[in-house]
Amino acid sequence: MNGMHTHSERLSARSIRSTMNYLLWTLVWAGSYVLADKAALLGWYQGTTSAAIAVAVNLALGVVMVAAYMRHLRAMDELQRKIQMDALALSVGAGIVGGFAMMLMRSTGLSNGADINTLILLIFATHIASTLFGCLRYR
Amino acid sequence: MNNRLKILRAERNWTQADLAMALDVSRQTVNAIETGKFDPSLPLAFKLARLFERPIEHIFDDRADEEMN
Repeated sequence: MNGMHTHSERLSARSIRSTMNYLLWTLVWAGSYVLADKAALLGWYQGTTSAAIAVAVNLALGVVMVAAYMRHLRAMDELQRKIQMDALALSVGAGIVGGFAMMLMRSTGLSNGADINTLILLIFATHIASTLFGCLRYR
Repeated sequence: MNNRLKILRAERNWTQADLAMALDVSRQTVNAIETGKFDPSLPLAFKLARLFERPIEHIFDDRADEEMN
């Protein structure tokens, strides 16, 4: 089985590297969002140009983060990928259904408190919960 | 889907981790296949067949209610 160990180390190393890469870009993207948001609150932007640059940088970092997530998915084995795909399907579904329900609640006057932050939180929470559920299910 | 993975692995005294290493997948994936919770893709099934030097149909059987021997 000696030759086999080399393959596994490759999978393990690949998985760790892609996870770290994805986490790093997620942190960078989230950091750029927080910085850009705080800058607006503190009135750091002089005119629309600097604000537009901040938004463009955040957007570009977001694209890099998504690309890192796709590389992360490709580095996984097929079961891990299935767990992620199931989690993505559930979180996108929760986002669409939840988003429309929130819009309906607002238009019918039932609530006006739900906003985009609540929706993003719902998507993240659904994704994390369904990933954990998938890991436990196939344990 | 039924499979004889556990038996074939035991015949060679391999652990799930050994088999996972050979297939370049996680131990969790090997366990999920063995317990029938997850059906492998065709490329992974072929990899298993080559590893155990058996035809795929000797390892996997989609007739759920019949005993494999």
